Amino acid sequence: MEYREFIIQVQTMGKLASFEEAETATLAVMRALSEVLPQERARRVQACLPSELSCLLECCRPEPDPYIDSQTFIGWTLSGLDATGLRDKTLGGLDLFAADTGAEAVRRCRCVFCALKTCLDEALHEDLARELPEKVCDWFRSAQASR
Amino acid sequence: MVTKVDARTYDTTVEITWCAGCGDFAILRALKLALADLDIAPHEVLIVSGIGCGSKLPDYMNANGYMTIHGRPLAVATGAKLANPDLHVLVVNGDGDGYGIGGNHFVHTCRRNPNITQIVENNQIYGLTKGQYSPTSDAGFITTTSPDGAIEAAFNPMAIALAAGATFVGRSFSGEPKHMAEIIARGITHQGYALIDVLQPCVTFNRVNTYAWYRERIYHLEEEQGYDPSDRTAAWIKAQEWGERIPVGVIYQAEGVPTYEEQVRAMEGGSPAGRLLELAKASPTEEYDRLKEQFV
Repeated sequence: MEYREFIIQVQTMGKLASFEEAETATLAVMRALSEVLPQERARRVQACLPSELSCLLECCRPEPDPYIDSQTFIGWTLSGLDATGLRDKTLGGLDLFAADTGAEAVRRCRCVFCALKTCLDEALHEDLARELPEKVCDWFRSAQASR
Repeated sequence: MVTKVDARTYDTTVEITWCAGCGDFAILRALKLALADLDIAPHEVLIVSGIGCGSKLPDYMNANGYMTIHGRPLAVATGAKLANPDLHVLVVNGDGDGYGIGGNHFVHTCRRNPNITQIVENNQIYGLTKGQYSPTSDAGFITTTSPDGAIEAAFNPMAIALAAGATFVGRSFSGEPKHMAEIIARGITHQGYALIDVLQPCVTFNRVNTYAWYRERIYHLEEEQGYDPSDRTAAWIKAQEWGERIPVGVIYQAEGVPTYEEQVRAMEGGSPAGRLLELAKASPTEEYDRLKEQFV
């Protein structure tokens, strides 16, 4: 799959307003993956990706930090995300002072995983899932590859 | 009887209210790992905090916790350590609490050298109050209280700690919990005041110093051939490094420096907590009265 096609797939799946938003989310998720994937596994994933994405996995370490959890993982995506408004639980409507980015970040991460799974052989899906932190592996497993 | 401490011993069911993706989650995890690795049980720890997002950490740990007022945890922690030197006393606070309003306590704690460990959750912003620039914000950083960019040069905690006489100066990054746990463990085992400045993103209010920003810049002193943390001159040079290259690891460590509580003369008869325990175990009043009748 070409890079542009990958990003458009993320944008479409996530109903994101712009190519740039989808690109930001994609690059963030790939960089987060580079923190948790061991080098050996990363090489197999790189082989299936367009060069603009595979280069982001170049810095994978032979033994990644085993204590990186879902919060640290999703933090990479959150930094590039504008907060979405929360509903006012008392009066209804939009609460101008409340914002929630966590759920939206996970949703975008799942969209990237969907596009990623489309590029990868199905045999690699479970191998990759096993390398991911708790909860992140669940997001990955539940992401539907679009064919 | 606890024979070996597990990090999960420190878990609680208290709901954590940090933003998703906050670096504080990793700091919390690293602290639990460090304490477990050192086989320190929850009742042997006191975590003192100030005010801020990171200062909520004691609520999220199954250990003794004491949330104080803004900027004051070091003073309270020093008092606690004097009262009961057997406790492992840690301070956990943010850059605003620790280096802003708490700056005075910070400087004097460095030179006083009590045997406590301070972990500063340095996200270069005031997060709880929704995004004002802090002492460690870089010059030019635009926030609600610095709409034209912060004017002041950033506070350099590594250099100031060294200049004030701190005997352990370390830094880590919340994106590397394993490294963080190792540095925290070294700080706790250090005899004297240990400062661990943890660089962490505030994913909600600081869109400059992100995970990516730190990852591009940090490098590990442990991997730098020939770097000796006991060399104060070399540490001073490393402490100045910021911007394109940021060192993490143990920047400076001086061993064998007497701690504050070792030198307080009033402690020669034992700690206040120890003496209280002895009194509690002492003979009952009737016995005292009998002895007084006999000998006075």
